[in-house]
Amino acid sequence: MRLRVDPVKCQGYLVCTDLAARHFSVDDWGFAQALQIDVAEADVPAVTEAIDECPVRAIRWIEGPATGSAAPRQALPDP
Amino acid sequence: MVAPPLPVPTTLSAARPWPGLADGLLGRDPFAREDRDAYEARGGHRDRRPAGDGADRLSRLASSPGLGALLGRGGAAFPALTKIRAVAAGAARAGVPPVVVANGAEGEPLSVKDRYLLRYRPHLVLDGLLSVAEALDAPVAHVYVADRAAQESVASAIAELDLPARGPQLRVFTAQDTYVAGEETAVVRALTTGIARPTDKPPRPFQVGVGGAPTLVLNVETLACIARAGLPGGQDGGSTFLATVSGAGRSPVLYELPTGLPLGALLSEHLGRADSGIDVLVGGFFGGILPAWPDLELSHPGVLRRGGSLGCGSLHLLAPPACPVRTTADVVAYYARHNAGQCGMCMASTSAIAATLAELADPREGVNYAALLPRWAAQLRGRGACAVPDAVAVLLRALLRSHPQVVTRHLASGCDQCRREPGEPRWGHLFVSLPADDEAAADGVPAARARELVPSAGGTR
Repeated sequence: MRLRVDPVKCQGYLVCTDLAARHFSVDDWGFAQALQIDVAEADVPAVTEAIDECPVRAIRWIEGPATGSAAPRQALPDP
Repeated sequence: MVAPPLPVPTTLSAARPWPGLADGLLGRDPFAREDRDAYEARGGHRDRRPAGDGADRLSRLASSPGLGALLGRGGAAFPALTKIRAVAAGAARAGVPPVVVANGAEGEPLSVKDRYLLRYRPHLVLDGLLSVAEALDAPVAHVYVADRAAQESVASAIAELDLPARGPQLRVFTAQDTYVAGEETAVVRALTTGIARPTDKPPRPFQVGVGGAPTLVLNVETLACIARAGLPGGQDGGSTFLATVSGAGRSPVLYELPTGLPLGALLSEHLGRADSGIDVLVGGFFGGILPAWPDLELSHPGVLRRGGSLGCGSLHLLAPPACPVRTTADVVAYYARHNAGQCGMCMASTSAIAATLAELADPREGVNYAALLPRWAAQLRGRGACAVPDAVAVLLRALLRSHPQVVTRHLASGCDQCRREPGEPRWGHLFVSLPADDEAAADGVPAARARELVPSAGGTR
């Protein structure tokens, strides 16, 4: 499982980067992005806290393999 | 010195099939609207609602010439049949009938092929749409348009068809005419709530679409290709594509080209020469600016191999002294103004990147542009609810990859072409419209002309 920050919701509070720095980073404009790596079992508590504490509830779990890049490709749909 | 703005023709002057393609999408008389009788005379709309169940019709559709290899024509080049089958499977799983949508809201300012098809070849689009809807047992199929001429043409075509009540029913939906309205989650959202703005993914429309039902959104050219594959003689559905070719001071022309044509052959035809020094902005505002290599293969894989994206098939030529940095800056400035206004990261990044690129006219001391541009390209990938941030990333990567010396020269000594007067229009020239004869505004000024007079409106049609 991976994580996705909904860009419509994210307001750049950056609670996630404080709570789970291994899985979130901040871009040059102050908004959060989820690093596209699988979440290890040991990281689940921190990530869960980040999801729960996000003031705008912008973070969610998504299915699919890790891409290893900063973010998933979106130019192509992937049915 | 500030370069004077050049007068640029933006209205389509011709629609021309490549030699030998007279029976393709454009046909022999491109600006004659093809009505039902004309379309049926060449074998269209035959066998409406053929026998068997949806699965039979789907396998028959799948076996029509070239369909297995047909890539979607909306920009993302996703295999059409894979998408159709994903919706069939999703609908079967969910136990609800799917929804099918013909997407003709062509937001790319440099492309007119979808608007052309809806206005002049509505039955080709409807035939493809009905074939797909029948194969999926979809009770309703929507035609999603963004301009009035398209809406009127499609509504008359549906009236001409006089469909029986037992098959799929057709509806026309007119969306806001904006850049993002044609993005497929914006299409779904508009048909469900009236708001033509993208939503974050997942879920994608094939999973959760209009009213929650699995939804197939196919570009109107894709549907025209599907219809063509079913016509007598069975032309390979993906054998040709429509390309809006503009720029280089010439009047824009809509071509139907053989898929895989080398760019040099097109330049010889369009400009009368295939000379060097020309760049090409590919795929609307989405595919990056590449040098106009004569051996560039005009197909999705062909352009992808060279670091760009064929996208919606448009090609905007930049002849000297046009500067690729300036054009990239102009396109990003367009995105800063015409994004969906939803995602903070998109609004902030497009404005900042547009300003930074404009700064390369006279670079500031102490700013490490050479490090910033690739860093931003990497940060934007896959971030948005729609693909606008990806488009900006593609533009930046293409600039760095294809024009490294040009960028270096800007960083060393600035650029005359990039210097602008305050308030100078940024993207009014990056625009193509269909001929205005049947699109006149109420005050008698053709709508296309009126837009040219208001540069800031150049992006919304």
